[in-house]
Amino acid sequence: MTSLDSGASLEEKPVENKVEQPVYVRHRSMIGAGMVVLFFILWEAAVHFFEVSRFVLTPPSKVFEALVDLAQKDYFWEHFRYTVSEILTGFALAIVLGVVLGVLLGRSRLAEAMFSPFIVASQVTPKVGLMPLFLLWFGFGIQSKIAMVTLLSFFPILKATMLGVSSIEQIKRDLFQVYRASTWQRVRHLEIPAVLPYIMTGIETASVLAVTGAIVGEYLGGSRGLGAFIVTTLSQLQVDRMFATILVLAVFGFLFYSSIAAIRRRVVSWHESVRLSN
Amino acid sequence: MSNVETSSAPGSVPKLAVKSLSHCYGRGESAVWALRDINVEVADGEFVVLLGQSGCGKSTLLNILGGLLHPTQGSVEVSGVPLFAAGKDNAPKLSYVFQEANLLPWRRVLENVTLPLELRGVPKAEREAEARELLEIVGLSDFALKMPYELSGGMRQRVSIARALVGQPDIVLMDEPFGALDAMTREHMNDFLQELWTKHRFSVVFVTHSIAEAVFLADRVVVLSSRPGAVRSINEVDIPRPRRSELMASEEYSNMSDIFRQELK
Ligand SMILES: Nc1ncnc2c1ncn2[C@@H]1O[C@H](COP(=O)(O)OP(=O)(O)OP(=O)(O)O)[C@@H](O)[C@H]1O
Ligand SMILES: [Mg+2]
Repeated sequence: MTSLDSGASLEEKPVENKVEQPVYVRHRSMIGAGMVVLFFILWEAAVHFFEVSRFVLTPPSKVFEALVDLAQKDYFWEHFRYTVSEILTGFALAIVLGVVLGVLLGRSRLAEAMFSPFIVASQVTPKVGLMPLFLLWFGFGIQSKIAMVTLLSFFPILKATMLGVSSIEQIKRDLFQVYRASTWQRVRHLEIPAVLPYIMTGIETASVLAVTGAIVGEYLGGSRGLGAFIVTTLSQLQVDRMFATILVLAVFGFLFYSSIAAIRRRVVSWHESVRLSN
Repeated sequence: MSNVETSSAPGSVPKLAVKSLSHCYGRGESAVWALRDINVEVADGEFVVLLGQSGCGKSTLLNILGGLLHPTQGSVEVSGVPLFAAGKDNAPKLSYVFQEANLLPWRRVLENVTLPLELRGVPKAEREAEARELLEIVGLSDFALKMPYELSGGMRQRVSIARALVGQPDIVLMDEPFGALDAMTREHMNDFLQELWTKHRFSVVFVTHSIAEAVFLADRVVVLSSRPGAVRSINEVDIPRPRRSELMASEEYSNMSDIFRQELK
């Protein structure tokens, strides 16, 4: 497949000098899909072979049946929308807070020194443990769940932004000083583009935590959202529905994460983190 | 060869004048005088090389000239105007070539070259036309739309030279611009820089600790002594141009190199 153009000089195409890739690299996604199918087959076989009770482990065939059934129920999609709006709102808040605070703390040594004890403290505190407090403060409605999503996804973004701001090289700043750039020009042409890859990496990491935050929040309080729905299925011993819901969450989490990863690769395609992974 | 204080004609204002400049890092007990009473003048279109051992204060001096560092004492004047007094509008046009290419990795080659003009508010069409001209001069017209990571080290340094020459700078400051390159590329870049300078005649202050590079490029070589950095001698290099790499084998060249080697001891 990969034919090397023998006439091309190295100087002209320094980066397109690819070597033939091994089979498992070229057919990576096919191998992955095959493994997933195999996993479901083994699961199905194990349930029948060991005669596991359907209240413990439902075979995938039953899970898919439940999934098809749920997909036709309005209340299921109602829960779904509720969860998604928590995630998107809380995540957007986390991005704004994380980037703004990250820039401020990254720029000022003093602010960093003042706030670092709190940052460390809140990092080592199991944040999920704060959910009862959020229920007390924000009630059983959507606000307490949004707060949980924001809290969980905020820290990776804050940390990444701080790191990004403080790792702008002095020599780059000198370049702008020689040309006597204004503060706004420095922000616009140096700081924003230089920090963007870090912010995007933080956002990518945080996207996984945002989904976790929403589900944990719904487990602990309220009756709406897919997390609350899972609790209901459990109390009614509808294990097939529970697995089906988890499957929906997994698919959503995957799509959410991969669209953010795709945005990152587009926005900062020049950065090593993207180039080296291609 | 002659030891002279300045080459500019009496009465005329030099392009760059460094006047009794001293610089001290730190205070009190830990104070280090990096530069002591430096006096140097650079005429319009002159190529001046600062030669000195590692740690003698060459970068410190160049950083002060570039406005990156305020001197402890003394002053710098560009065409008679004090460097630090000038406001943004009448600031002298300086440019700086760093030891590494120091390109902005998120900008294409062309946009890296247009940066100084963009910061000065030159309209897009105009600055791109000028940047393309310069890319042509440094032999990289075909790479205008590439990203910096698609270029070799030597090509990147040529982009950085194009960026330094865009917009007719008053003075080009170069801090060991070829120090990070291999010997062969470095020789090639020296050739190339001489050719560019012969054609366009910008004023240059070029820092190096390579005697060979100094003799090859300079109109005048300012030898700095170490700790604290002070001017030991100012030497005119009157080898005719264009100088070629064969020059290195000539007697003239080795005599001159010997003198600098003595001076640097
Ligand atoms: N930021 C700084 N703080 C304190 N001392 C410094 C600082 N920068 C440089 N110095 C000291 O000033 C002296 C001159 O340093 P400088 O970097 O100007 O030397 P240089 O001639 O450029 O050396 P090289 O050829 O190795 O680049 C050195 O003794 C160095 O230790
Ligand atoms: Mg130096």
